[in-house]
Amino acid sequence: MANIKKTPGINASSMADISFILLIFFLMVTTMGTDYGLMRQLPPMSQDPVSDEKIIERNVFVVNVNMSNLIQAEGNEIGIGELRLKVKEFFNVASEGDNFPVKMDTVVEGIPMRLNKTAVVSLQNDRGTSYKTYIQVQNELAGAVIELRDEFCRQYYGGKDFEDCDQKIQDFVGKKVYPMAISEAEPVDKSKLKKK
Amino acid sequence: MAKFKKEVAKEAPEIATTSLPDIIFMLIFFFMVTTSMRQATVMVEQKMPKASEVKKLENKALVSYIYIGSPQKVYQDKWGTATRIQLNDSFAEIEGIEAFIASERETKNEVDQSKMTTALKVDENVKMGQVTDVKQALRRVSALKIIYITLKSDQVF
Repeated sequence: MANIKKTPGINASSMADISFILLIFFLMVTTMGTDYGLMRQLPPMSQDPVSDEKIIERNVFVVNVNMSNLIQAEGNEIGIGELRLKVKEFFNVASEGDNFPVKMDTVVEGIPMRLNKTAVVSLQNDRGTSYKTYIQVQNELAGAVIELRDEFCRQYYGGKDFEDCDQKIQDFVGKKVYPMAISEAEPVDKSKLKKK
Repeated sequence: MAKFKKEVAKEAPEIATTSLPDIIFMLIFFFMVTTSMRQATVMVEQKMPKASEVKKLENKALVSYIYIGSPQKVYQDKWGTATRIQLNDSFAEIEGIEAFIASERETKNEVDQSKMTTALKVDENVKMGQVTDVKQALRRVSALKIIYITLKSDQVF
């Protein structure tokens, strides 16, 4: 009897299912190399530059980065670590004083608010500034605005972060309360040199 | 005698090969998905600066890349070590950017043209002068949406 014993074949019909499950798993999990970065909108090339008279000095926070990568904010040299706090203090709608932007009182959907009329960070850099420092500064400026938006939303909209709020609220906070108002100085005489 | 007969009757079990095509397909799909589709071989040094407040680059079909940095070792004999701009697969001058953006625009349909983004992949040792020149060139052709590609990191400085 022992001589007709045969090893039974392995049942392989479920193999296809298993490989499909694996395939779908990898399809979902793998992502293509994603890039991250800082989004910015360049100002359009305009023929007539904005006249300086319209700009009130207290509404503008000047950040200057020189060719040795030293950072100056409103005339005082500061380290990169201090920049975020300074910018937050400047943009904050709760900051009152002669050094801070002009405020206005409005009522938005029944909630009285005191907002900045206009507040702009003006970023000036030298041709010799390194890109690394420039990105660090841009990062700090963006970080300051993002933190302020979160704080504002937490205060007025039930403890939620900016990203968790409704689209309508995000539009309002992002455009009216704390816009990403970073203006870059026009490079000196560049267009004339280039066109020859 | 019985012992001898037993050894003749022993057969090796068949290996089930029905699932082999599935496995191969799985591998094909896996590599199809994971390989990143980069149109250009980067010929300049690319050590990105770090930033924490970053956004993910969406809609890659509408992104044109501009690479800036000093040429990599193998290209230094021909191109030197000074910072250069790379568009598609070749080094270019500032003047080439306008034509590059125009040709990128042509490949997209009209609806998408306004959503086009220019991604600046700039080495961290590059001086801002060159970046400013590129930005001015982009402004001249009204390619105003840009993104500075950075590494995502919480430790910026």
